[in-house]
Amino acid sequence: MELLSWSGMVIVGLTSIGLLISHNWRYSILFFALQYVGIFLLITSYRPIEIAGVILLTGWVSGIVLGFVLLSEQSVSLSISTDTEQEAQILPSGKTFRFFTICLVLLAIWALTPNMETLAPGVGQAQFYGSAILISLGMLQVSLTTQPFRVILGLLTFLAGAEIIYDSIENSVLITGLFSVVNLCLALVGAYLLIIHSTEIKQ
Amino acid sequence: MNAPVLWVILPLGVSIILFALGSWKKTSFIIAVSSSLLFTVLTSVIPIGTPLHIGSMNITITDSFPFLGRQFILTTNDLPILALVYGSLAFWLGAASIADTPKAFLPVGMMMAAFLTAILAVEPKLYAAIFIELVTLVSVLLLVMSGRTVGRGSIRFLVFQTLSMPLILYGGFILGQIESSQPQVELLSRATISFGLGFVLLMGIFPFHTWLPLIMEEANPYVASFLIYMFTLVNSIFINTLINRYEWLQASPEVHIIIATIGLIMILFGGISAVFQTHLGRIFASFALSEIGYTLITIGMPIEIGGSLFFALIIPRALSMAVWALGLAIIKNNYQSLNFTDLRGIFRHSPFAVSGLIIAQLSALGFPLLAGFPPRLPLWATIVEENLWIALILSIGTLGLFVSTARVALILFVGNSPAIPHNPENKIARWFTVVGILGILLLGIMPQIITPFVVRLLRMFQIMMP
Repeated sequence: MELLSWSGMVIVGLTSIGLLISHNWRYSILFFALQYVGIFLLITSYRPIEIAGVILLTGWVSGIVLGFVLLSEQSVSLSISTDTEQEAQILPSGKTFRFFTICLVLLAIWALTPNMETLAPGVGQAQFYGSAILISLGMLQVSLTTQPFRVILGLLTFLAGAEIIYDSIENSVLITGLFSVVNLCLALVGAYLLIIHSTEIKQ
Repeated sequence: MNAPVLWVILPLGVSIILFALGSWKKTSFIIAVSSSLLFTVLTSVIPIGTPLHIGSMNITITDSFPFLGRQFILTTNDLPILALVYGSLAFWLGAASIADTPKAFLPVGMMMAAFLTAILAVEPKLYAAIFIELVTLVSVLLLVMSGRTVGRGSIRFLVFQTLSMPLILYGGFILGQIESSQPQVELLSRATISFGLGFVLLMGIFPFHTWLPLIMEEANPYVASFLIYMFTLVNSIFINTLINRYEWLQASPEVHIIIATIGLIMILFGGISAVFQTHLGRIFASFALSEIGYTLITIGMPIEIGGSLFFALIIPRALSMAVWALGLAIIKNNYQSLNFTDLRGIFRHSPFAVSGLIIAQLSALGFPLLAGFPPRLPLWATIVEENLWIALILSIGTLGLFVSTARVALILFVGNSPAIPHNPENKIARWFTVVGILGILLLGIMPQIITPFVVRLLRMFQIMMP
């Protein structure tokens, strides 16, 4: 179980970094789907597998919803790549800047997390690290862009981190259900925003 | 039958019907307005917990609705606030046809009211944070639909509200721990910080207020004003309920001082920012910031004084915001802009909309003989007695709002007006505006007419007082 949790933490960390760095929306969706595999592994250690399965499915469905919209709206998918490249030009050295910011955030997590374990008693170390990575890199993603697609992915990442912590301290089916509803609705809102964004681009 | 089914599930059902009706505008409009009126009337007709005799039938409306191990509870004490939510919804939906709102405004408005009632009903109260997030998601759809653009305001609104949800949930978890064990200083400070940050994000408090002026600029002003009104109302009640529920929060003078200080900063900030705005929508947002400030000051006061002032401010605010939003919507429809440069001297062509807007603005700043003045007078008096420096800061904020109003009046009354609008004020728009203005005047001259309702609203908190 311990090994599963730590491997989940590693997957979550790598995919979150991938989500922040990738320019291609297809890779982003792939990283997002893999991220939920990591979340699944983290959650299975303290919640029944069915509940962890629900969370995994919710994440995948959210990714599929966003992916389908991007597949059907070519103009948006093109604009995401272009915008990201433009952002990369505006921000100093684009990818390098992001990479160093991520390193700083991870360093802060590594330094602060051991002192913060009292914040949520009973939560395993792997879960705590995984959750801290998701929350901070999700917030970083949200703060670095105004693109609806990236913002929604950032928010979903942030919420996934919060869900890991909250699920471990309060074992409630209602909370899991409501978090799933919020995640799905967020993905649907994201899909709608992408469609409107596409109409704007066409005009 | 139980109360949450009546005021949460049924409105959700109506909302789905309204979605299904789609392009049948008139039918949707009639159903939406009449059902919100019906839900309002039911709050005074249906007793909760006592049998209701209809012919040979005896129906008892119970107060709780169990759902996945948690409860939704609406007691008799909650009915006045439900009357306020659904009553104001009826007014906003009623005037929606004039304001060129998107088709989805009616169903989404009804859905919001249902979710907002769920926020008031859910137990433990902290789960309300998740319902607020759901309302946010629905609201973002409405904002984007009405503005036909994915603006920065909508994105920021979504981000700030989403970030607030886990903070409030976590704060609630800590509060649960404090309740079940001996309060520890570390736990108390953790809960306060978590809640504090959550509520700062939730209420749009400086520096997380930037979405307010942005959505007023990007989206349909009527839709954006409706969202600001509803969010301010329910979030402030949510905060007040939580503070009064937990004894240590209620008893902590530091918490009250911090809340009141933030309120004061908001009034000052709202007043100063209003002076420099040249967009009518952004001015509305500045006034909304100031209203949030007043709300926070009343929350920061001892419940015996602050409770009644908190509720006394709600009704005039609801009326002023509705009339103001209507004026903004009419002006935007006619002149396609809310910028000062495009609106010089438009009073000649749109006298009702401009009058409504100015009177609502004056009422919102607490001008004598208007609805906003009577509840502000005792508030100002209490503050002056307490500390003259605070009174001075409050005066600067209020002066800023006054200067802004004078500036708006000058722009809209004087100067060469743009081309005569192709779609001047219609009869319904004039009728709604006149009713709103009369309401503002009536509440200003005879504030005692709402006193019994305010007393009923207060019951919501009195039962929580030790």
